[in-house]
Amino acid sequence: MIPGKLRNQLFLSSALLTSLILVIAAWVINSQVLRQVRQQVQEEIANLLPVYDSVWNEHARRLQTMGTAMADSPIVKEVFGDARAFRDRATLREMISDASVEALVAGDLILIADGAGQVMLVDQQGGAAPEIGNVAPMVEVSERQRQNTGFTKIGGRLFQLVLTPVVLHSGSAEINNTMAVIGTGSEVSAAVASEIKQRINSDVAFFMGGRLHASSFAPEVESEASAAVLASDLSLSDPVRATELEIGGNLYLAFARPLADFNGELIGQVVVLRSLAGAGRLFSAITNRLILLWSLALVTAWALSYLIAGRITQPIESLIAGARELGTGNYDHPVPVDAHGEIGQLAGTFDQMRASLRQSQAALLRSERLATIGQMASSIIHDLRNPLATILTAAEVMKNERLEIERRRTMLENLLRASDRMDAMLSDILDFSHSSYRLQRKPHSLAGVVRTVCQDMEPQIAQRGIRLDVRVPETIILDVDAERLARVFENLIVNSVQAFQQNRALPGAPPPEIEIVAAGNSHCIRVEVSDNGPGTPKEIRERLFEPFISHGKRGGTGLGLAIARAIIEAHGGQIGLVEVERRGATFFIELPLEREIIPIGMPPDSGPDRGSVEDGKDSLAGG
Amino acid sequence: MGKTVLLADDDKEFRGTVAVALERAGINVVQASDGMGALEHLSRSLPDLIISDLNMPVMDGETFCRRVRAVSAYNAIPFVILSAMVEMDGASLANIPADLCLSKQSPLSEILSQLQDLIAD
Repeated sequence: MIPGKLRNQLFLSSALLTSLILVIAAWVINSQVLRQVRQQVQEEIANLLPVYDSVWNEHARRLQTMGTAMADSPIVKEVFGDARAFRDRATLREMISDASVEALVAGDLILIADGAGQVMLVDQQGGAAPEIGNVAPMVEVSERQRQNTGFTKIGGRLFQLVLTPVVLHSGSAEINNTMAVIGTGSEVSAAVASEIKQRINSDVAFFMGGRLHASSFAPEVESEASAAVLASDLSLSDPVRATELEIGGNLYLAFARPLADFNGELIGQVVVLRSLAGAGRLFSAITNRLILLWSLALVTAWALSYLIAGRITQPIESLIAGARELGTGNYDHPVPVDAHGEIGQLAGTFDQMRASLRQSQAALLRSERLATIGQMASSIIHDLRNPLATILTAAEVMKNERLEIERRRTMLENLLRASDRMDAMLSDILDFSHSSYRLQRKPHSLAGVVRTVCQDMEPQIAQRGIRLDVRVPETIILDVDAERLARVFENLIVNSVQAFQQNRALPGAPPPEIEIVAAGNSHCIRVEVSDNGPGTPKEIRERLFEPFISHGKRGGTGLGLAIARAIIEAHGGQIGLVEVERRGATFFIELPLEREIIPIGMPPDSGPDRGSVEDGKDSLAGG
Repeated sequence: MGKTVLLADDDKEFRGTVAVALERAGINVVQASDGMGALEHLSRSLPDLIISDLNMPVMDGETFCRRVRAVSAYNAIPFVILSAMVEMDGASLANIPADLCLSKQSPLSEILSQLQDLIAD
């Protein structure tokens, strides 16, 4: 099986695609959520503005009430109404404490000036009073005879101040005199910033003349906050459009509000900074949840991709399995066609192809078999025709009544020999056609079997002047069908004899010799039958043991070696041609020692070679 | 003076049988078991006719026939193929430069009369 290459490719590509889509979707949703959160914070800030303004209004109202109460108090009117009254500081302080309807708070400022704006007293509750620098607003208030509220800088410090004129009515309404101006104020400091922070849940910083005046920030981040605000492009014109700032690792949305003096002129600004930490926490909670969801979606998408890839490739894999079976020549392995769509069609087509291949293969086998039968038949017929021609001719010659007795006998002998040859050939063919041999196995001495064959063939061998050298130990006992094994040796010797016969006329050939040598170990016996003839031509060496392969030999069916192989293989052994450098052909036979047969009187561990009575140089050579 | 025929065939019985038949017809027969042996005979004396089998060891009938045709001294001698393969290999027989191809299965009288015709020329 291919380790699912297609499946992996499908899975990877679809997993990649779904991951990409999910990541893009996550990014889009993420930025959407971020925008929503930011917008929500901006709306919150817009809602903060009235709250912020109301803080200052409350402060102003307290100061206004205080101022009005003082200006309307009879003591104050008495002090300023009598031109001869003492107006030193001690008297004024006494007057203030008597005129106050409510207690002064720490940081509260009391200022008293005469009608011409000359400052008579500056006092601050619980602190050192600032040096007064600016009298112009007081003169204006005294002239207009109206209470006024504003931010002002006194001695380098910032105050929210309410100026109230002390007016004396002298009978008629037209003749009013401003006798004095009373200022009630509170310092705009870090404490006020903290108060505002509590109210609007945002940090506040006061800037004056491009410098930080006070803020609700802790001292360690104050300078950083100041630098960040001054570096930004905060604009007073659009209070709702907040600017994003980073201070101490936290994100803030900041907007600025003006601080105006009595004439409505800008003397500084308040920067309100709303921390995004809370929104950030919400945002990261949403992000975490999104990441979890996305991980789940990714895993699900991958699992689905894997399953779908499997569903697509599984029919292809079974198709591959079918094709592979077909490739090995198994035409009976059906291809499942349960898939739908194109793959199902492909599988169906493939299965049809397999069926038609099986048919044509069967037809091919049939025609091949017929061709083989034809070849065998023509080979057999041809071989049988030669002796048949002899028989016919001899019979025809013998028809002549005047034939001499001597010649008649020769004809008869020829006729008989030709008949014998035909008989031998027919036996060969019969032997070969009984492809499964029913062996009659019994323990036999290998040397005995070989000796019998040599004795039977001695006339032919001697007549051709061939020397036969047999070296087979007498101790080798094999469990074999002796008659069949003899046939093997006979065929091998005949093969060699015929080789010499062909070689007869070649000049300078060595004296012909056939050698039979046997040796063995505990597993098998190896016999080699070799000759010093011309050897086997290369072109037929590989097909030597196939039937009807002979190289120009006469008098046989070309079945000798094929029969030898069939017999040896029936014994579970092997037969073959040994590749040798020297002249001639060497055949080997290997027979397994399935059941070791130990002759009486022999120790079991003595090998077949040891202590063997060598058959001597069993030379049967004649001539 | 009787005519002489050189007979090359590796089948000893057939050779002997045909030899007897030819001798009965008054023809002398010189025998050889293959093409090489037949060439040796030719080098000693020239026959009036050569009869050869096709399938023989050492040197087959076709090679033998070509050798004979290649030597001017032997060129004029009529060459007859007498084989069991005659009907089978018609195509390849056409390539052999023999005067006549006869089947071993033909009746002896027919073979003899055809041979007689060739010798008479």
